[in-house]
Amino acid sequence: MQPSQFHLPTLSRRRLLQIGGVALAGFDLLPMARPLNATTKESVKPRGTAEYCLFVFLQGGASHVDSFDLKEGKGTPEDFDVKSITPDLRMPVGLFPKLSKKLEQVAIVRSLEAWETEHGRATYYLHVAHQVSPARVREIPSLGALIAYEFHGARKASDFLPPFISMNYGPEQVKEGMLDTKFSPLNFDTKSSDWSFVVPQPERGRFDRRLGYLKQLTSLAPGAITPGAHSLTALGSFQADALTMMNSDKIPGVLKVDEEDRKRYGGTEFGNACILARNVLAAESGTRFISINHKGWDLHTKIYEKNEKVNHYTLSRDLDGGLSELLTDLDKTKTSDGRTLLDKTLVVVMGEFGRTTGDLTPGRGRDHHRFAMSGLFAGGGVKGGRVLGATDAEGTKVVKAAWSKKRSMYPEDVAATIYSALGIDWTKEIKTTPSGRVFEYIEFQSGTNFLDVGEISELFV
Amino acid sequence: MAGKHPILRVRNGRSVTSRSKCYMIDYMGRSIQRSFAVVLLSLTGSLLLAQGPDHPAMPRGSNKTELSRLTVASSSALPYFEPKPAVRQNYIDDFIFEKIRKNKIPQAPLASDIEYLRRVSLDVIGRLPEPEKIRQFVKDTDPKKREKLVDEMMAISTKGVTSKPSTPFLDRWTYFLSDLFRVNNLQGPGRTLLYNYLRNSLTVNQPYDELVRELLTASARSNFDSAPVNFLIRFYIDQPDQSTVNPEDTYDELAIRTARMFLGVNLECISCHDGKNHLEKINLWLTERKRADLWRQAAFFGKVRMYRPYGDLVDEFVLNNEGTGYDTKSKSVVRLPRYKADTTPTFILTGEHPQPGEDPREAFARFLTTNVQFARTTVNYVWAELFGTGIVDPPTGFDLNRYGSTSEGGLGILTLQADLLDALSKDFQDHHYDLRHLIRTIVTSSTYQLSHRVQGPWKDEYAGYFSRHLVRRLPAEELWDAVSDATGVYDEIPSGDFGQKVKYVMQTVSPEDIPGKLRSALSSFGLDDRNLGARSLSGSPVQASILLNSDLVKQKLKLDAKGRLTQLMRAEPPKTNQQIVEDIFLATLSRFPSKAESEFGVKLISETHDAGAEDLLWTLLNRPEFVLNY
Repeated sequence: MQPSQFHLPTLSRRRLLQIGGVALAGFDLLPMARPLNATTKESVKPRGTAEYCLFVFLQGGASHVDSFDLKEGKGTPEDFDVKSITPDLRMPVGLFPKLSKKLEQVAIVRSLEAWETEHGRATYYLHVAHQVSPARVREIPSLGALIAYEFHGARKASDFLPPFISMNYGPEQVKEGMLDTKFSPLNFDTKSSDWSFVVPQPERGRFDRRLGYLKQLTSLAPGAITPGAHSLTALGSFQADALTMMNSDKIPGVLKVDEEDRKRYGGTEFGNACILARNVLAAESGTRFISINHKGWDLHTKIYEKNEKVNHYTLSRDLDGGLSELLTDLDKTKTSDGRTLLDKTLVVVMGEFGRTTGDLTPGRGRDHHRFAMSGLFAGGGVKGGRVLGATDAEGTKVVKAAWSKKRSMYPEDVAATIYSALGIDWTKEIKTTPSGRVFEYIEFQSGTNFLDVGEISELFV
Repeated sequence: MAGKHPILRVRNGRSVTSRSKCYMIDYMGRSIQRSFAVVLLSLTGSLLLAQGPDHPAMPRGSNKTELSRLTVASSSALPYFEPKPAVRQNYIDDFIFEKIRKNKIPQAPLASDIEYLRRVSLDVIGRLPEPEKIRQFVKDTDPKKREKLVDEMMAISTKGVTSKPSTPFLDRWTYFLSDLFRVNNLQGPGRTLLYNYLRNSLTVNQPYDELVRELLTASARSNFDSAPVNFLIRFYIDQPDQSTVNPEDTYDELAIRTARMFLGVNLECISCHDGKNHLEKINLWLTERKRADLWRQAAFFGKVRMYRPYGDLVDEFVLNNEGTGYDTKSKSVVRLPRYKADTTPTFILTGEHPQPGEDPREAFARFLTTNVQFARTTVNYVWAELFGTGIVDPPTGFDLNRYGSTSEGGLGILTLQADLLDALSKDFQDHHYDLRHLIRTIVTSSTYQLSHRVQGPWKDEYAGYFSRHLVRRLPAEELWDAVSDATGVYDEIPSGDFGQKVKYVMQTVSPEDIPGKLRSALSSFGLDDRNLGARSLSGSPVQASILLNSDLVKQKLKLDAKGRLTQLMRAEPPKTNQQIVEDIFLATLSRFPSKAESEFGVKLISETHDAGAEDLLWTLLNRPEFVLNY
């Protein structure tokens, strides 16, 4: 059933020369060579059409054949209510009633693939665009942290929000790695609304008094031999950074979910996350990358069963409510330069892999499948109302890549697309890493496979 | 569309297999200099040059530089105490002091009683000392009081006890073992069984080698009713269907995990590629190891069969000895295809094979626990736990070809304190792998008791001399338990699978137990999820905001939460404001307030009463000093 894992053609010497350039000088001496110079030789022009990126992670791996690459069959439930949106797009309108009406803004990509079939590794890959490497796992930053790092120079004095915000991630989240902790994500749990960055209005007076006490007491602390050496450099500065945000007048408005919005966005953890994302983007106050973890898509069993607490219907409904309202609101919001927020924000929606296709498994669900999945792209210069790529009749394999590289798209390509849209040269590298291993923003290789990574430029034309 | 992919699979024309990107850069050999001048690049790119033959290369991946920097940054701002001269306490000091003298490294004096009590309490029992304990300890004039304290903390009394003894020491070290063994809900309710098993082992002070042998050789019809088998179960690797186990991937995983925990080496490197031509600048011992060496090591588990007989989507497993052996033809889910090779079980350190008829796991357990590297690795893990950094650091970073070598070996001296580590290991073996003995020996040495303050110029490269105590942030669990103890207001945390409720994070079976909101806060403090993630001790604005303003903290500060403040403010007979201030200082910063601090606190409480007490407690929790173990 599963295609061979290693079905990729061999690198020809000629092609290697083309890619490898001068790195080949020592090729015969080295049992391993890679096109280290390809990155510098190949000149890329980042697009720079977006200023922000919102990444919605369909955690667990959404079933593509039950959503954005729908494969109708005898098992397709009636109430999917499949309808033709355009001649080449049939959607389960029953699952995505609102989103189905917003597709003119969305490009659906059906030629995505993953490298991994295990959650931890695949999730890591998607968020980092690098394979899990035990030797480097501690130093490699996630996409969001790297974007935060890239935009550090562009931060304005008035920017009070952190560059990287995430929602509903847990301890497994990949953070800043070797980069400075100021690029670490600020994670919100949107089930609750206890966000420690917001000092509730009634407590404000007391909070300010307390800060005064803290300052006074700090000046009285015993032991400071050197005058003025009272604050513990690093730890003190984290507190100062936190207070910058907490003392901003705007923060209560940003971190607020009002009741009308809450209902409109579905009243769910995911809906609330979308509201916050909208507020943060609308504030335009330093946040460049937002990542929302939409949990629960790993439906190995009872995928269509509505009496299960979490099933394909509930997840689709949550996604439909939150995402469609978010797109609507971003599109409605004009910014100071005349563009809408959606124009300035690249929205990417995908999971870590697809799911098995055809009949359901004996557990009435779908297992992990890496050879095909779908993703949604919108805003930030993406031209919507289209479907890119195609899979075979069952949705098991990509048969039409629909982009210039003539192959399926991988997490590296998605990352390059995000970097490009944000104006970041994805061929950059950081040489001075703690382990001494060069860190490339995007590696032109996965496992034994060299990959001619590039942005998915077709999305933008 | 396979044939059309311009994705390129590289073959070099000579060897067909064995490479993964993780080591190629090293192989390409860039930016790392060898010999005497070691260039350490800090994260911000600044250059630090350590010259001269005396200082060893800082092994990459070690956190010593980071700790040294935090120590330098915080040392002069931490409270000053009258230091005591450091005199030799035990053999550890001989090794440490000798090298300090020889290389003229600035050395700290002995930490004060106050500092020692906070430090040793956090390290040995994971908790802050109670105010009464601090007063009593400071007053005690017994010259042996530090040793006495350590024995007290480790003791377990069963006399007159009708339920199972529970002490902070057991909480803290069961947590340590659960961390090391990565206990989590991959074992289902089996995690709780294993947790209790480890706890019992510590309670009766079972020799550690015996415990490890039990874990490695256990079999059971169900991991839901047999404890030790959960150790191996934890590391199953599934086929993509998530319902059947991939045997060879699981064997590899078991070999990698056990080598990491018990031998301090990372075989993961050679799970995808041979060491040669990849690891020359990382680990010379590994350069001599091939993928097939890992498979032969993994083959000790080749008779293991793990499967789900009770429902293919229920993680309840049988683990028995009906496995059919290691088969290199089997398809891997997580690694490159294997090549054909001899897979006779072979101990990777010595080349030993099982005796004819001997169960391969029994053989492995025997080879392992009688090898000195097992003792070294264990000692080093415990040292790292107590000092924040191992003698070999990271503790999985042993290079056995260069261990103990004082010659450069092309990569710099490997282990500055190998002689000490060997002496500790021998002592550990001589005392039949007694963990309490090991902990006691370390924390009663003068080395452990040194202050963080030194006179004279300091370089980060000195960190490996342990000539001053390195300051570190409290890890997430310790930090939260410290907030609970300081305020005297506790959470009710469900722990394990049998309806138990606990007060301390350090009493939980695994991180999944911690309720969502608290877990999310603790993950900001670098909580280890015992999966792909790792514990982090770095700081962040989010952490600061949690202590400043999270509801989780604020609700513990309220006088009506019936915690420490209530007891202090409503005491009968009433306490003076000065006594109250002193108690709040002792409960948070584990030290007495200075005169000025005391006056400040007294004024605050006399002016604003209950609110003032709450404010004082809040203020002290937000002093950076509170989150430090110094």
